Amino acid sequence: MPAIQLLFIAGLTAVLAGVVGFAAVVLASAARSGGGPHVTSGFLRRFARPGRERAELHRWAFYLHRITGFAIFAFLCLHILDVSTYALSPALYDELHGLYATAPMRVFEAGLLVAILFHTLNGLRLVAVDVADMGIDASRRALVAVAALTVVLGAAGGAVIVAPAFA
Amino acid sequence: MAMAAFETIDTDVAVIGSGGAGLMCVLHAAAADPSLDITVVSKGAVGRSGCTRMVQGGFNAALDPDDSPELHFDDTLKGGAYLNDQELAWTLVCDAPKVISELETVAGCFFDRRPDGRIFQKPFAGQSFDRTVHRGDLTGIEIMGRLRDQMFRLGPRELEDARALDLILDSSGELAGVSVLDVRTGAVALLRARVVVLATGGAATMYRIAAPAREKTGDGVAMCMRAGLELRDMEMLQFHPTGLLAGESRLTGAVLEEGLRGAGAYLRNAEGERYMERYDPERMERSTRDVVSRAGYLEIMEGRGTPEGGVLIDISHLGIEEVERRFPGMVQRTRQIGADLARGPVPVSPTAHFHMGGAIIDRDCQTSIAGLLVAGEDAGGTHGANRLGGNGVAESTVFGARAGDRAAVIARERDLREPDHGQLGRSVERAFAPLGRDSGASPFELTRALKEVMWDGCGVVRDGERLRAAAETIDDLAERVRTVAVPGPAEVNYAWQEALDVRNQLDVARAVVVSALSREESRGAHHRTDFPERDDERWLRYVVVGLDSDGELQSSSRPVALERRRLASKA
Amino acid sequence: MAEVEQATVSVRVARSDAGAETTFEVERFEPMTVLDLLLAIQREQDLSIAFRFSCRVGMCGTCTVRVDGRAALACTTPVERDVRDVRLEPMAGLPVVRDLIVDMAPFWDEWARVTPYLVPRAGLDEPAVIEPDSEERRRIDPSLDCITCGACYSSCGVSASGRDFLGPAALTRAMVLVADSRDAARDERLRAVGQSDGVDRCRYIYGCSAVCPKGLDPAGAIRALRRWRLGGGP
Ligand SMILES: Cc1cc2nc3c(=O)[nH]c(=O)nc-3n(C[C@H](O)[C@H](O)[C@H](O)COP(=O)(O)OP(=O)(O)OC[C@H]3O[C@@H](n4cnc5c(N)ncnc54)[C@H](O)[C@@H]3O)c2cc1C
Ligand code: FES
Repeated sequence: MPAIQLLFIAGLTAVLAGVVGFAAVVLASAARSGGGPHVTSGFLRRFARPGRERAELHRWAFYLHRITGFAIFAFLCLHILDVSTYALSPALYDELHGLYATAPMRVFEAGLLVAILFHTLNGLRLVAVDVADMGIDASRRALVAVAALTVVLGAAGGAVIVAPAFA
Repeated sequence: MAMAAFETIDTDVAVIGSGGAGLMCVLHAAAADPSLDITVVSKGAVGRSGCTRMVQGGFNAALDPDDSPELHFDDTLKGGAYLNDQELAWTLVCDAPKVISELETVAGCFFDRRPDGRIFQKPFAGQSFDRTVHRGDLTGIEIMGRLRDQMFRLGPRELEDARALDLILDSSGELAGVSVLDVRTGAVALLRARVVVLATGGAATMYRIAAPAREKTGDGVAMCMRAGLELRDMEMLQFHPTGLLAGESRLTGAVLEEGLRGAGAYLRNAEGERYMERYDPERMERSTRDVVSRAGYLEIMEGRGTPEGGVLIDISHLGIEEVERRFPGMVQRTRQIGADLARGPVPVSPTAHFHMGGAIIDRDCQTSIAGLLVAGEDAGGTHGANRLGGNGVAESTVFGARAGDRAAVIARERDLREPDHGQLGRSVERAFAPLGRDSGASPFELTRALKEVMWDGCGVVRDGERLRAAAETIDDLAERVRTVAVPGPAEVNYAWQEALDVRNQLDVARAVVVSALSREESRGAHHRTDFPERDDERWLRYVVVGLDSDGELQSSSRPVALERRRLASKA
Repeated sequence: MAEVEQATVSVRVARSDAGAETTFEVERFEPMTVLDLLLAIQREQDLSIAFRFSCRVGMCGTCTVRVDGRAALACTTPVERDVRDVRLEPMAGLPVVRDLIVDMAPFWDEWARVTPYLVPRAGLDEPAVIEPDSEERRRIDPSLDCITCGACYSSCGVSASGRDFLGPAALTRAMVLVADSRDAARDERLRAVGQSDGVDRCRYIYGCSAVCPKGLDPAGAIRALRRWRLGGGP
């Protein structure tokens, strides 16, 4: 494997490790703060009831928003580097970017798409909260819509991205 | 257990208690003289302990042009069966409108309005005019929340979670200050003060079924007693007729508000009978608290109670929506115990609510000890034999304010005194004794026993025999309290705090029982089956109790001064 | 889960002393609140357990703990019949004094920073004439009745994780005063809440509005302040 590809894989591994680490920090600090990720039977029982209890979804959206935000940013940093290889040598660029067509990389890209979708849609929801003065229930419904759209668009887009690798 | 070396804090005005009386006192003292050094000592959280916080019904004040302090005064005396100290009652009714105005314009409270934007006043039992000011059914939160906010403006020294133990005198018997125990650290401090204002809010928790907040264990009254002050009307303990029955739960005793009866709720016994017909056919359920409480108690005692030992309150005939709209807090409270006020009857029982008795004060809250003021529920006399709903928070804020004004004046005149260290040492030693013992009675058991004996022996309906038996049991408990043992450290030890509470409660309980024994008639909240009639010939007198120099409790009685109103018609 | 009635409840309590008992089997009775559980433990099993309460009817706001992770008033939280175990912890984001008791000082520090008391406008000598269904009161009334229990603070992902943030309770108080026509300090307050640790720190988690035992909506108050800050007032 060419050195440049190895370098990229190392970078990507660092990005993924960073994301996992960041997620761990977020969830650990969440466990200390109120409502945190306590998946106990009592919590699940309450969560099963409709109404205000489900507002906890917002908290999870907040964690996910931060984690996806970090992931997108971290990948973007790597991506800027890998694209800038073009300035050094187009051949080097081509060599490196051959990686993007491989199956594992396509799966990663599909994941990236889901992260971007969630982050974008959820970001729009947060803007809407202020613009449309959305209360706890309206915002929760919007959040459900964000989740649904993320899943649907993510699945469709993911299929398009991943399919060529298996064609 | 070794006691930590203690710190001395010097202050101009020491306010003990942070309920309505305590914080109004701070507000007024600071306004009268901003340079004063003021210290608030509060056993519970500042502004978030005590009963003023729990006021639901509202605040009586003659605001309407068609109403007058005169009318309010007459209602108050009639409610109090003419046992009131008329000077205090008159002060109450005259100052109440001023205090309402002050709460709105200075403290920033906002009470419910009429459609035209002026303060709305609702009817309340025993009143000839609709004069009760309120904010929904959370009036106390509005008043105490805003008074607590004022503390951020005024910045008194706050000793939160600090229990006043004893009044400390100097070697010549003059007031020097208070010993204070920090509940969090277990450290003791001596608070030296030019003026001490006691506002710890009465002792009505000493009954099996009781409404007040947990801090109200008669600390202030017991401190006064131990310092040699005389107390009046100690037998006059008000029971609210509709306390929730929730079995073992601490919710038992929580008040279902008076407004329910005002709105037309029925009271029934287990046989389905509207029993008030037998006790007060004219006013029925809307009769005064003492009458309705007694009726409920007798029904229960005579075996017509529900299995839970209560009677039933039922307002569901107004319709679910109406009840939910008008009494949201009450509906929620009953749903919490698996009943539902909006849909059917709820078991209730009389519940110990308010202590009319307390220290003897003048209209500026002064006692016979120079520099010691007492305000709020700790003081006696304003309400006589029975308090009107809505006069309690009025009393605590009106007299708290007056105490503040007066304290500012006295603070300029009085010097700090050097405390008698022997007395201080004894106060601290007594407090720490339970921590040092390895084995002995559990404080929680003693509290339970006291609550039982007071309920059975000195409750809604009394008689000589049971009172005497109660007195004996209380003596026994007082012996046992001397052997109480509590494990653990001095820091944040609530079992220890309970031991200190029950000691004070026992002191006060004894005063209640002795006073009840000596009043051989029935009047207001005090009802004796062996003397069932009111006897104005012999008993237009108030009972006074106090410790003599040997520490024995002595009782006597004095005629009520009828300086403003002679006895009108019999209430 | 089937509605099985439990004879005992297993209670796990976060204790601050190393070695203190943390799990208790409490015999249940009906009706029962979380406060009843704690009182039963204190009375029958461990005198030294530390927790706070005063009124036991949801008015004083001093009994707040986290029940299965979520801030609630112990006295108004029922232990439902089918509950087998309960986990109790002190509120989040506040220093623990002992066991379930926390030091509320950080909460009050934030509260104090919004000038929480009315600054009466000139000439306010007697109770103002304000109609109950006026715009102003409709804004304020649902946000009164705060019992400063700190549940919102504990449930706020920002406050409870120790960031500089005025927090939901103080901001609700600020909103009430900004909307109050009797008050003369509107501009200062709007400035205070507009700073970097003010309304913009809110992360839209709605933890506050979800847990408020009095049913207030601090998140709504924060949104209102965000709007008013730009428009100079309501
Ligand atoms: C459930 C309920 C409902 C009520 N409803 C009404 C109503 O609708 N209308 C009405 O007019 N009245 C009502 N009352 C009566 C009214 O609440 C009291 O009359 C009044 O609030 C007493 O005020 P206070 O300031 O004397 O004492 P509280 O407000 O009780 O304050 C006592 C203070 O003393 C402190 N304290 C106690 N012991 C010590 C100590 N040793 N050291 C330091 N601090 C100590 C406590 O922490 C607390 O801060 C009600 C009472 C109850 C219990
Ligand atoms: S004890 Fe007062 S709110 Fe729970």
